[in-house]
Amino acid sequence: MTQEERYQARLRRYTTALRNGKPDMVPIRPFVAEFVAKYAGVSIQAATHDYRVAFEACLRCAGDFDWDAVVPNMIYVWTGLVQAIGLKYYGIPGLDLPENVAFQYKEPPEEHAFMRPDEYDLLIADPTDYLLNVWLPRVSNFIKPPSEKVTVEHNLALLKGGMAMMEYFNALGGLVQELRTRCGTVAAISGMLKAPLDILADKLRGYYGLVSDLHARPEKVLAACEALMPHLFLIALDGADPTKNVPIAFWMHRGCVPFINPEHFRKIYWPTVKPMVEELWKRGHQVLFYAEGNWDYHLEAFRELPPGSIVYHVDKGDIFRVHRVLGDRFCLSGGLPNDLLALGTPEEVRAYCKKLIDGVARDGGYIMDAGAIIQDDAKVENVRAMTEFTREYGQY
Amino acid sequence: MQKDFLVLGHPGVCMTWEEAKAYFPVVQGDESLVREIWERIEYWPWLFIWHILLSF
Repeated sequence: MTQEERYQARLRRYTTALRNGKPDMVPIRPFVAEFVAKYAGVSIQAATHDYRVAFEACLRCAGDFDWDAVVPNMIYVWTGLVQAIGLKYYGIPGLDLPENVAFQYKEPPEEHAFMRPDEYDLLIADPTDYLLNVWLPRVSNFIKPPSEKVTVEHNLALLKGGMAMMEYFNALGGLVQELRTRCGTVAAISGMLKAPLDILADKLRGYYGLVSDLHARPEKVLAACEALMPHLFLIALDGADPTKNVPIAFWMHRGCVPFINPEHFRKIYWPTVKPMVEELWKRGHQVLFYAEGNWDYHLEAFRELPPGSIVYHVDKGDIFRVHRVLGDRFCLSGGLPNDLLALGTPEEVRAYCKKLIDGVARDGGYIMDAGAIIQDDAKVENVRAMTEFTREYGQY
Repeated sequence: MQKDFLVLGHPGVCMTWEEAKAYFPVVQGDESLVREIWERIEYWPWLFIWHILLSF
Protein backbone atom coordinates (compact mmCIF):
# COMPACT_ATOMS: atom_id res chain seq x y z
CA MET A 1 0.00 0.00 0.00
CA THR A 2 1.39 3.43 -0.90
CA GLN A 3 1.35 6.28 1.61
CA GLU A 4 -1.32 8.01 -0.46
CA GLU A 5 -3.51 4.88 -0.42
CA ARG A 6 -2.99 4.62 3.32
CA TYR A 7 -3.88 8.29 3.68
CA GLN A 8 -7.07 7.93 1.67
CA ALA A 9 -8.14 4.86 3.67
CA ARG A 10 -7.51 6.68 6.94
CA LEU A 11 -9.26 9.81 5.74
CA ARG A 12 -12.34 7.75 4.80
CA ARG A 13 -12.29 6.01 8.16
CA TYR A 14 -11.86 9.22 10.12
CA THR A 15 -14.42 11.29 8.22
CA THR A 16 -17.00 8.49 8.26
CA ALA A 17 -16.78 8.39 12.04
CA LEU A 18 -16.80 12.22 12.25
CA ARG A 19 -20.17 12.15 10.44
CA ASN A 20 -21.40 9.67 13.06
CA GLY A 21 -21.19 6.79 10.62
CA LYS A 22 -19.67 3.33 10.90
CA PRO A 23 -16.31 2.96 9.13
CA ASP A 24 -14.34 -0.27 8.63
CA MET A 25 -12.81 0.05 12.11
CA VAL A 26 -12.67 2.48 15.04
CA PRO A 27 -10.42 5.38 14.01
CA ILE A 28 -7.54 6.37 16.29
CA ARG A 29 -6.75 10.06 16.65
CA PRO A 30 -4.69 10.80 19.77
CA PHE A 31 -4.07 14.45 20.60
CA VAL A 32 -0.40 13.83 21.29
CA ALA A 33 1.40 16.86 22.69
CA GLU A 34 4.62 16.63 24.74
CA PHE A 35 4.40 12.84 24.35
CA VAL A 36 5.97 13.23 20.90
CA ALA A 37 9.08 14.82 22.45
CA LYS A 38 9.38 12.02 24.97
CA TYR A 39 8.97 9.38 22.28
CA ALA A 40 11.50 11.04 19.97
CA GLY A 41 14.00 11.46 22.81
CA VAL A 42 14.19 15.26 22.70
CA SER A 43 13.71 17.71 25.54
CA ILE A 44 10.47 19.59 25.98
CA GLN A 45 12.46 22.79 25.72
CA ALA A 46 13.75 21.74 22.30
CA ALA A 47 10.30 20.79 21.02
CA THR A 48 8.62 23.92 22.38
CA HIS A 49 11.25 26.49 21.52
CA ASP A 50 12.21 25.10 18.10
CA TYR A 51 9.06 24.04 16.28
CA ARG A 52 11.13 22.17 13.69
CA VAL A 53 12.10 19.70 16.43
CA ALA A 54 8.44 19.29 17.40
CA PHE A 55 7.45 18.74 13.78
CA GLU A 56 10.05 16.00 13.32
CA ALA A 57 8.93 14.36 16.58
CA CYS A 58 5.31 14.51 15.43
CA LEU A 59 6.25 12.91 12.09
CA ARG A 60 8.24 10.21 13.83
CA CYS A 61 5.26 9.27 16.02
CA ALA A 62 2.87 9.37 13.06
CA GLY A 63 5.25 7.10 11.16
CA ASP A 64 5.70 4.60 13.98
CA PHE A 65 2.13 4.35 15.32
CA ASP A 66 -0.86 3.21 13.29
CA TRP A 67 -2.91 6.35 13.92
CA ASP A 68 -5.48 7.60 11.45
CA ALA A 69 -5.09 11.25 12.33
CA VAL A 70 -3.02 13.50 14.58
CA VAL A 71 -2.94 17.19 15.34
CA PRO A 72 -0.17 18.88 13.40
CA ASN A 73 1.88 20.01 16.36
CA MET A 74 -0.16 19.82 19.53
CA ILE A 75 2.77 21.56 21.25
CA TYR A 76 1.07 24.49 19.64
CA VAL A 77 2.76 27.42 21.32
CA TRP A 78 6.08 28.19 19.66
CA THR A 79 7.85 29.85 22.56
CA GLY A 80 10.48 31.38 20.27
CA LEU A 81 7.71 33.65 18.99
CA VAL A 82 6.47 34.24 22.53
CA GLN A 83 9.94 35.33 23.60
CA ALA A 84 10.37 37.61 20.56
CA ILE A 85 7.22 39.53 21.52
CA GLY A 86 8.04 39.39 25.23
CA LEU A 87 4.67 37.93 26.28
CA LYS A 88 4.44 37.98 30.06
CA TYR A 89 1.87 35.26 30.56
CA TYR A 90 3.99 32.25 29.61
CA GLY A 91 6.37 30.11 31.53
CA ILE A 92 8.82 28.90 28.89
CA PRO A 93 10.57 25.52 29.25
CA GLY A 94 14.30 25.97 29.63
CA LEU A 95 13.93 29.71 30.25
CA ASP A 96 11.52 30.23 33.17
CA LEU A 97 10.98 26.53 33.79
CA PRO A 98 13.14 23.40 33.89
CA GLU A 99 13.82 22.10 30.38
CA ASN A 100 11.50 19.14 30.70
CA VAL A 101 8.43 20.91 32.05
CA ALA A 102 5.69 21.82 29.56
CA PHE A 103 4.97 25.50 28.95
CA GLN A 104 2.64 27.12 31.47
CA TYR A 105 0.16 29.99 31.51
CA LYS A 106 0.59 32.55 34.25
CA GLU A 107 -2.64 34.30 35.20
CA PRO A 108 -2.05 37.54 37.07
CA PRO A 109 -3.95 38.22 40.32
CA GLU A 110 -7.32 39.94 39.85
CA GLU A 111 -6.02 43.40 40.75
CA HIS A 112 -3.34 43.12 38.02
CA ALA A 113 -5.55 41.65 35.28
CA PHE A 114 -4.48 42.64 31.76
CA MET A 115 -7.87 44.27 31.22
CA ARG A 116 -9.34 46.52 33.92
CA PRO A 117 -13.00 46.31 34.94
CA ASP A 118 -13.74 49.86 33.75
CA GLU A 119 -12.44 49.14 30.23
CA TYR A 120 -15.39 47.10 28.94
CA ASP A 121 -16.73 50.01 26.89
CA LEU A 122 -13.38 50.42 25.13
CA LEU A 123 -13.27 46.73 24.29
CA ILE A 124 -16.90 46.70 23.12
CA ALA A 125 -16.47 49.79 20.93
CA ASP A 126 -13.55 48.36 18.97
CA PRO A 127 -12.04 45.06 20.11
CA THR A 128 -9.14 45.13 17.65
CA ASP A 129 -8.16 48.66 18.59
CA TYR A 130 -8.32 47.75 22.27
CA LEU A 131 -6.16 44.68 21.77
CA LEU A 132 -3.52 46.49 19.72
CA ASN A 133 -3.26 49.68 21.71
CA VAL A 134 -4.16 48.77 25.29
CA TRP A 135 -3.89 45.04 25.81
CA LEU A 136 -0.80 44.15 23.75
CA PRO A 137 1.43 46.78 25.42
CA ARG A 138 0.33 45.42 28.81
CA VAL A 139 1.06 41.78 28.04
CA SER A 140 4.39 42.47 26.31
CA ASN A 141 7.66 43.43 27.90
CA PHE A 142 8.66 45.31 24.75
CA ILE A 143 5.64 46.81 23.03
CA LYS A 144 4.64 50.36 24.04
CA PRO A 145 1.19 51.98 24.04
CA PRO A 146 0.58 54.89 21.61
CA SER A 147 1.00 57.37 24.48
CA GLU A 148 4.64 56.36 25.06
CA LYS A 149 7.75 56.87 23.01
CA VAL A 150 8.54 53.89 20.84
CA THR A 151 11.81 52.09 21.40
CA VAL A 152 14.10 49.85 19.40
CA GLU A 153 12.74 46.89 21.38
CA HIS A 154 9.17 47.92 20.52
CA ASN A 155 9.88 48.12 16.80
CA LEU A 156 11.77 44.85 16.78
CA ALA A 157 9.15 42.98 18.79
CA LEU A 158 6.40 43.90 16.33
CA LEU A 159 8.53 43.11 13.29
CA LYS A 160 9.90 39.86 14.66
CA GLY A 161 6.54 38.79 16.04
CA GLY A 162 4.71 39.35 12.76
CA MET A 163 7.36 37.70 10.63
CA ALA A 164 7.76 34.79 13.04
CA MET A 165 4.03 34.13 13.08
CA MET A 166 3.95 34.03 9.31
CA GLU A 167 6.92 31.66 9.28
CA TYR A 168 5.24 29.36 11.80
CA PHE A 169 1.86 29.19 10.08
CA ASN A 170 3.50 28.59 6.71
CA ALA A 171 5.57 25.80 8.24
CA LEU A 172 2.44 24.21 9.71
CA GLY A 173 1.05 23.88 6.19
CA GLY A 174 4.22 22.02 5.25
CA LEU A 175 3.81 19.69 8.21
CA VAL A 176 0.26 18.81 7.16
CA GLN A 177 1.60 17.87 3.74
CA GLU A 178 4.48 15.85 5.20
CA LEU A 179 2.13 13.93 7.48
CA ARG A 180 0.29 12.88 4.34
CA THR A 181 3.25 12.07 2.09
CA ARG A 182 5.69 10.62 4.63
CA CYS A 183 3.27 8.88 7.01
CA GLY A 184 -0.10 8.59 5.28
CA THR A 185 -1.60 10.34 8.31
CA VAL A 186 -4.47 12.83 8.28
CA ALA A 187 -4.20 16.22 9.97
CA ALA A 188 -7.01 15.82 12.52
CA ILE A 189 -8.22 19.40 12.77
CA SER A 190 -7.93 22.68 10.93
CA GLY A 191 -8.64 26.07 12.41
CA MET A 192 -9.74 27.03 15.86
CA LEU A 193 -12.63 28.54 17.73
CA LYS A 194 -12.83 29.84 21.27
CA ALA A 195 -15.79 31.03 23.28
CA PRO A 196 -15.95 34.79 23.89
CA LEU A 197 -16.49 34.22 27.61
CA ASP A 198 -13.43 31.97 27.81
CA ILE A 199 -11.30 34.59 26.08
CA LEU A 200 -12.39 37.19 28.62
CA ALA A 201 -11.27 34.87 31.40
CA ASP A 202 -8.13 33.47 29.76
CA LYS A 203 -6.33 36.56 28.55
CA LEU A 204 -8.24 39.71 29.52
CA ARG A 205 -9.97 39.83 32.90
CA GLY A 206 -8.66 36.58 34.36
CA TYR A 207 -11.00 33.98 35.80
CA TYR A 208 -11.58 35.74 39.14
CA GLY A 209 -12.08 39.10 37.44
CA LEU A 210 -14.58 37.62 35.01
CA VAL A 211 -16.58 35.92 37.76
CA SER A 212 -16.77 39.23 39.66
CA ASP A 213 -17.93 40.96 36.48
CA LEU A 214 -20.60 38.33 35.80
CA HIS A 215 -22.22 39.45 39.05
CA ALA A 216 -21.34 43.17 39.06
CA ARG A 217 -21.81 44.05 35.38
CA PRO A 218 -23.34 41.11 33.46
CA GLU A 219 -24.69 43.38 30.70
CA LYS A 220 -21.15 44.57 29.93
CA VAL A 221 -19.87 41.00 29.85
CA LEU A 222 -22.59 40.02 27.39
CA ALA A 223 -21.91 43.06 25.19
CA ALA A 224 -18.18 42.29 25.22
CA CYS A 225 -18.86 38.68 24.22
CA GLU A 226 -21.06 39.87 21.36
CA ALA A 227 -18.35 42.29 20.22
CA LEU A 228 -15.77 39.48 20.16
CA MET A 229 -17.96 37.09 18.16
CA PRO A 230 -17.38 38.44 14.61
CA HIS A 231 -13.62 38.28 15.11
CA LEU A 232 -13.60 34.80 16.64
CA PHE A 233 -15.86 33.61 13.85
CA LEU A 234 -13.59 34.99 11.13
CA ILE A 235 -10.51 33.45 12.78
CA ALA A 236 -12.32 30.08 12.80
CA LEU A 237 -13.26 30.44 9.17
CA ASP A 238 -9.77 31.62 8.18
CA GLY A 239 -8.13 28.41 9.42
CA ALA A 240 -10.88 25.98 8.42
CA ASP A 241 -10.22 23.06 6.09
CA PRO A 242 -11.10 24.26 2.58
CA THR A 243 -12.06 20.68 1.63
CA LYS A 244 -14.42 20.61 4.67
CA ASN A 245 -13.22 17.14 5.66
CA VAL A 246 -11.83 17.77 9.14
CA PRO A 247 -13.36 19.88 11.89
CA ILE A 248 -12.48 23.22 13.39
CA ALA A 249 -11.32 22.66 16.97
CA PHE A 250 -13.31 24.47 19.65
CA TRP A 251 -11.15 24.60 22.77
CA MET A 252 -13.49 24.77 25.78
CA HIS A 253 -12.01 26.07 28.99
CA ARG A 254 -13.94 27.50 31.94
CA GLY A 255 -17.39 28.22 30.58
CA CYS A 256 -19.12 25.30 32.30
CA VAL A 257 -20.75 24.73 35.65
CA PRO A 258 -19.30 25.02 38.27
CA PHE A 259 -16.80 27.58 36.91
CA ILE A 260 -19.82 29.73 36.08
CA ASN A 261 -23.41 29.28 37.20
CA PRO A 262 -26.20 27.81 35.03
CA GLU A 263 -27.81 31.22 34.42
CA HIS A 264 -24.58 32.72 33.11
CA PHE A 265 -24.15 29.74 30.82
CA ARG A 266 -27.73 30.06 29.56
CA LYS A 267 -27.74 33.85 29.14
CA ILE A 268 -24.16 34.66 28.14
CA TYR A 269 -21.92 31.69 27.29
CA TRP A 270 -24.23 29.65 25.09
CA PRO A 271 -25.95 32.50 23.17
CA THR A 272 -22.52 33.76 22.12
CA VAL A 273 -21.23 30.34 21.03
CA LYS A 274 -24.22 28.58 19.46
CA PRO A 275 -24.77 31.08 16.60
CA MET A 276 -21.13 30.78 15.54
CA VAL A 277 -21.29 26.98 15.46
CA GLU A 278 -24.57 27.07 13.54
CA GLU A 279 -23.17 29.54 11.01
CA LEU A 280 -20.01 27.45 10.51
CA TRP A 281 -22.18 24.40 9.94
CA LYS A 282 -24.30 26.31 7.41
CA ARG A 283 -21.06 26.88 5.54
CA GLY A 284 -20.16 23.19 5.70
CA HIS A 285 -17.69 23.20 8.59
CA GLN A 286 -17.98 20.77 11.48
CA VAL A 287 -16.75 21.88 14.90
CA LEU A 288 -14.95 19.60 17.33
CA PHE A 289 -16.07 20.42 20.88
CA TYR A 290 -12.94 19.72 22.91
CA ALA A 291 -14.81 19.58 26.21
CA GLU A 292 -11.89 19.90 28.58
CA GLY A 293 -12.92 19.04 32.14
CA ASN A 294 -16.52 17.97 32.67
CA TRP A 295 -19.34 19.56 30.65
CA ASP A 296 -21.99 16.93 31.41
CA TYR A 297 -24.29 19.54 32.95
CA HIS A 298 -24.69 21.13 29.52
CA LEU A 299 -25.34 18.13 27.31
CA GLU A 300 -28.98 19.07 26.71
CA ALA A 301 -27.89 22.49 25.46
CA PHE A 302 -25.47 20.87 23.01
CA ARG A 303 -28.32 18.68 21.74
CA GLU A 304 -29.89 21.87 20.35
CA LEU A 305 -27.26 21.93 17.61
CA PRO A 306 -28.05 20.41 14.19
CA PRO A 307 -27.25 16.68 13.92
CA GLY A 308 -23.71 16.12 12.64
CA SER A 309 -22.67 19.73 13.16
CA ILE A 310 -20.22 18.88 15.94
CA VAL A 311 -17.95 16.13 17.16
CA TYR A 312 -18.04 15.92 20.94
CA HIS A 313 -14.79 15.08 22.70
CA VAL A 314 -15.02 13.79 26.27
CA ASP A 315 -12.36 14.48 28.87
CA LYS A 316 -13.58 14.05 32.47
CA GLY A 317 -17.24 13.71 31.60
CA ASP A 318 -19.07 10.39 31.81
CA ILE A 319 -18.70 9.19 28.24
CA PHE A 320 -21.40 6.55 28.64
CA ARG A 321 -23.89 9.22 29.73
CA VAL A 322 -22.69 11.49 26.92
CA HIS A 323 -23.33 8.67 24.48
CA ARG A 324 -26.88 8.21 25.78
CA VAL A 325 -27.66 11.93 25.44
CA LEU A 326 -25.74 12.91 22.31
CA GLY A 327 -24.79 9.67 20.58
CA ASP A 328 -27.73 9.68 18.15
CA ARG A 329 -26.74 13.14 16.87
CA PHE A 330 -22.97 13.47 17.09
CA CYS A 331 -19.76 11.49 16.84
CA LEU A 332 -17.90 11.19 20.15
CA SER A 333 -14.19 10.92 20.84
CA GLY A 334 -11.87 10.50 23.79
CA GLY A 335 -12.83 9.24 27.22
CA LEU A 336 -9.70 7.22 27.95
CA PRO A 337 -8.41 8.65 31.25
CA ASN A 338 -5.02 10.31 30.97
CA ASP A 339 -4.04 9.13 34.44
CA LEU A 340 -4.44 5.57 33.20
CA LEU A 341 -1.99 6.28 30.37
CA ALA A 342 0.43 7.77 32.91
CA LEU A 343 0.04 5.43 35.86
CA GLY A 344 -1.72 2.30 34.62
CA THR A 345 -0.47 -0.85 32.98
CA PRO A 346 -0.95 -1.90 29.34
CA GLU A 347 -3.48 -4.51 30.53
CA GLU A 348 -5.51 -1.83 32.30
CA VAL A 349 -5.39 0.38 29.21
CA ARG A 350 -6.62 -2.48 27.02
CA ALA A 351 -9.44 -3.22 29.46
CA TYR A 352 -10.56 0.41 29.44
CA CYS A 353 -10.40 0.62 25.66
CA LYS A 354 -12.61 -2.50 25.51
CA LYS A 355 -15.08 -0.83 27.85
CA LEU A 356 -15.12 2.26 25.61
CA ILE A 357 -15.56 0.36 22.36
CA ASP A 358 -18.26 -1.88 23.84
CA GLY A 359 -20.04 1.04 25.46
CA VAL A 360 -19.99 3.78 22.87
CA ALA A 361 -18.55 2.54 19.56
CA ARG A 362 -20.72 -0.42 18.59
CA ASP A 363 -22.70 1.55 16.02
CA GLY A 364 -19.79 3.69 14.81
CA GLY A 365 -19.53 7.40 15.53
CA TYR A 366 -16.60 7.05 17.92
CA ILE A 367 -12.91 7.97 17.65
CA MET A 368 -10.40 6.52 20.10
CA ASP A 369 -8.41 9.07 22.07
CA ALA A 370 -7.42 10.00 25.58
CA GLY A 371 -9.57 12.46 27.48
CA ALA A 372 -7.07 15.30 27.30
CA ILE A 373 -3.97 16.06 25.30
CA ILE A 374 -1.31 13.42 25.85
CA GLN A 375 1.74 14.87 27.55
CA ASP A 376 5.07 13.41 28.55
CA ASP A 377 3.66 11.62 31.60
CA ALA A 378 2.01 9.01 29.36
CA LYS A 379 3.95 5.74 29.17
CA VAL A 380 4.95 4.72 25.66
CA GLU A 381 3.83 1.14 26.29
CA ASN A 382 0.38 2.38 27.32
CA VAL A 383 -0.04 4.53 24.20
CA ARG A 384 1.06 1.51 22.19
CA ALA A 385 -1.47 -0.69 24.03
CA MET A 386 -4.26 1.81 23.24
CA THR A 387 -3.28 1.77 19.58
CA GLU A 388 -2.80 -1.98 19.14
CA PHE A 389 -5.87 -2.99 21.12
CA THR A 390 -8.11 -0.57 19.23
CA ARG A 391 -6.83 -1.96 15.94
CA GLU A 392 -7.44 -5.55 17.03
CA TYR A 393 -10.76 -5.16 18.82
CA GLY A 394 -12.16 -2.13 17.03
CA GLN A 395 -12.96 -3.85 13.73
CA TYR A 396 -16.56 -3.56 12.52
CA MET B 1 -32.87 39.34 21.08
CA GLN B 2 -29.33 38.37 20.11
CA LYS B 3 -27.59 40.78 17.75
CA ASP B 4 -26.56 39.44 14.34
CA PHE B 5 -22.84 38.95 14.92
CA LEU B 6 -22.08 38.78 11.21
CA VAL B 7 -22.77 42.49 10.77
CA LEU B 8 -21.02 43.74 13.93
CA GLY B 9 -17.74 45.67 13.89
CA HIS B 10 -15.11 45.41 11.18
CA PRO B 11 -13.38 42.05 11.55
CA GLY B 12 -10.47 41.49 9.18
CA VAL B 13 -8.91 44.95 9.33
CA CYS B 14 -7.28 47.09 12.02
CA MET B 15 -7.80 50.39 10.22
CA THR B 16 -10.77 50.57 7.88
CA TRP B 17 -10.45 52.14 4.45
CA GLU B 18 -12.79 54.92 5.59
CA GLU B 19 -10.31 55.80 8.36
CA ALA B 20 -7.30 55.38 6.10
CA LYS B 21 -8.70 57.74 3.47
CA ALA B 22 -7.73 60.66 5.69
CA TYR B 23 -4.13 59.89 4.68
CA PHE B 24 -5.00 59.72 0.97
CA PRO B 25 -7.47 62.53 0.39
CA VAL B 26 -7.18 62.30 -3.39
CA VAL B 27 -7.20 59.02 -5.28
CA GLN B 28 -6.66 59.80 -8.92
CA GLY B 29 -7.20 56.31 -10.25
CA ASP B 30 -9.39 53.37 -9.29
CA GLU B 31 -10.29 53.76 -5.61
CA SER B 32 -11.85 50.32 -5.38
CA LEU B 33 -8.50 48.76 -6.32
CA VAL B 34 -6.66 50.84 -3.72
CA ARG B 35 -9.25 49.89 -1.12
CA GLU B 36 -9.10 46.19 -1.98
CA ILE B 37 -5.32 46.06 -1.63
CA TRP B 38 -5.39 48.15 1.53
CA GLU B 39 -7.82 45.74 3.15
CA ARG B 40 -5.91 42.69 1.94
CA ILE B 41 -2.74 43.89 3.64
CA GLU B 42 -4.65 45.13 6.69
CA TYR B 43 -5.74 41.54 7.21
CA TRP B 44 -2.22 40.58 8.37
CA PRO B 45 -1.97 42.83 11.44
CA TRP B 46 -5.57 41.93 12.27
CA LEU B 47 -4.67 38.23 12.05
CA PHE B 48 -1.54 38.86 14.10
CA ILE B 49 -3.24 40.52 17.05
CA TRP B 50 -6.13 38.06 17.15
CA HIS B 51 -3.81 35.05 16.98
CA ILE B 52 -1.72 36.51 19.78
CA LEU B 53 -4.92 36.63 21.82
CA LEU B 54 -6.25 33.23 20.78
CA SER B 55 -3.31 31.01 19.90
CA PHE B 56 -0.30 32.35 21.78
